[in-house]
This record gives sequence, C-alpha cells and structure tokens, in this order.
Amino acid sequence: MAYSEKVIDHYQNPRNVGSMDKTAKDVGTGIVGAPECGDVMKLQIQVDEKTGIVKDAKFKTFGCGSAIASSSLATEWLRGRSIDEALSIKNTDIVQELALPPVKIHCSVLAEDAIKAAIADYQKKQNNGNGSK
Amino acid sequence: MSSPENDRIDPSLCWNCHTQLESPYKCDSCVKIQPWPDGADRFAFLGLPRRLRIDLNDLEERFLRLSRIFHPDFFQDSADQEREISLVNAARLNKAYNTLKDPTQRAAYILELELGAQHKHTKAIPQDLAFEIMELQDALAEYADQGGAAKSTSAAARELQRLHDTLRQRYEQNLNDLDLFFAQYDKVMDESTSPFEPQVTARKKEILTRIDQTLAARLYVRRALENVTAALEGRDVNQL
Repeated sequence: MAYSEKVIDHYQNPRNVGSMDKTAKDVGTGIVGAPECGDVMKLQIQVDEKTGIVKDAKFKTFGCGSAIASSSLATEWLRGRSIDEALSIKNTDIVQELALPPVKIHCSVLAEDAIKAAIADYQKKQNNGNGSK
Repeated sequence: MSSPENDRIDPSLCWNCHTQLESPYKCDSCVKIQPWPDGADRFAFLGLPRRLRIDLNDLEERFLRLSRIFHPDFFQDSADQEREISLVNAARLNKAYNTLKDPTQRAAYILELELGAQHKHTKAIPQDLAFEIMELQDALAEYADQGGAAKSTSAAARELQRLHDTLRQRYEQNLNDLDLFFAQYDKVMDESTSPFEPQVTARKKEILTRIDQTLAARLYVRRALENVTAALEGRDVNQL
C-alpha cells in the first residue's frame, strides 16, 4: 500500500509536535488509543478563554504514518477555530484531505476522537474551575 | 454436495435410520454418530448452558467423553458417511473446546452469539489506560534513544520495567474484571424466564458492552506488553 504524498509530507515534517501543561485551565487534553493496531494519540488544545478560539494545538502520536499524519493535520485545522468549529471537524474530512485508503480510515477516526476528547476535557475544566483557580 | 449433514431434513431424526434421536451425538437405534451442525452453539455441543463461568475440569471431562465418541481413529473402517461425520465433528469439537476453555475467547464468542458476527466492536479505551500506554511509548522511545538493551541497568530501562510491571498488573486485573462481568451475565441468564423480556435485554446489553470494552482493553495492553518485552530483550520494536 502506498501512502499519499500528503501523508508522507505530514509524516516527515509533522506539524505542532509537542506537549502542553495538561493541568493548565486553558488547555484541553485528549488521549485516545486503538486496541486493534496498538496506536496511541495525544492531542492538546490551548484555548483563548475570552474568545473561545483555539490558540494553539499540539500532538504526540505513536503509531503508523497515517495516524501521525491524521493528528498532525488535525492540529493544523484546529488552530484559529472556535470550539464549535473544532467540533465540526469530521474524520471523513481527514480521509479526504490525506487520501487515506480504507484500511487506514480508523486512524482518522482516532484523530476525531482525540479532538472531541480534548475539547471535552477543556470544557470540563472550564465548568469545574469557576472561581477555584 | 451430498453428505449426511446436508441431506438431513429433520435434525431431530437419525440421518441413517430416521429414528427419533435421544442424544444429539449418537443414535440409540442404529448406533451411528450424528453430524453436529456447523455454526451451532458451541456451549450446547459440550452439553453446557450458555453461561460464562465454567468449571474447567468439568469442561475437559466433557471434551474427552465426546472425543471418545467422535474420534476418527474409531471410524477408519466405517462407511464413508460415518467417517466424514467423525472427521468433521472431531474438528468442530476441538474448536468448541478451545473457544470455551479460554476466558478471552469464550467472552468474544458470547459477544458473537448474542450480538451477531457483524457486530461492531467497541474501540473505546479508558482515558487512564491510554495515558499509561502513552507514558510507556515515551519510555520506549527514550530507551531506544539510549541504545536500547546495551544499557539494561540504565534509568530508561528501569522506568520501562516499572511501566511494564504496572501494565502487567493491569492485565491480570483485567481478567478479574472479566470474571465479574461473567458472573453478572450468568445471573441475568439464570433469572431470565423469557430471553425477550425487554428489561433483561437492556441489562444484558449493558453487561455485554462492558465485556466488549474489557476485551478491547485487554488486547491493547497485551500488544503494549509484547512491545516492551521485545524492547527489553533487544528485539526490534514495531512502532510504525
């Protein structure tokens, strides 16, 4: 199976690799895993608490080229988006952009799950943290 | 294709002499062994109700008893039809026994029986487990960067070993969890007068979902453990 040029590009030059402080109130962290391939993906967003816009996004993925490319692309797309816009990112968009073959669709699903988990984590912190921090 | 299994119109009758069968394994009247249908309940093959907690000694006894009935060695000189039944049944019996004796396979089989082979398995992994796997992959990368097995006493190797042991515990705990859900499933089955009672079905579905999640986590942990073991033994780690 050949990877598309876009996958190879993201794989060789991954965007926004790294970690943020996951205890920070303006940071949402999503870690998801895929039992069938053993991949694990961490995606973090830093949100401007006033505007609700994603200021920064980082990822760290251990997995195949498609999983790395999917999460790398996700961080690119997340930057500058509002939470609602971020939630509207679908795995099918990632599949299309990266031209993922059917056997690699689960990688894009993992990326979508990671986005949702990161946002949920951020929202939970915002709701819990009222006045406490 | 003509075979006793395919030709049989009524499975409650002997394929050979058409007498009503008392036992599904062998005809009392003409003493011919009976074909066990493909895809039929593997619990039933071993004469067991559909329950997840199984006495393994009892299971083995049942397996040996049935093996003696169907073993192909006893049918070397029999007619083609009976020899074929013996071969096919012996293979299906082995498959049924292997499925039921292993708790993981048994659980996967119940999911297939209850939810169908086409059922989409859960892929959700609990957050804390995904987090542990992340830590482990970090430690693996660190270990590899430092030259791997050459420095087996290094801090990276010790950290890897520590994470390995934690996961190993989780792997064992996972089996306890599975056993707990087995007990819950069996209770629902014991209490159910009608399997189609909606409330029972809802409760059962809930338990089956838990079993599904537990199996997914088990597979994930096992893969991770294999990777760590390979790394610590200096073999190639398949990370990509």
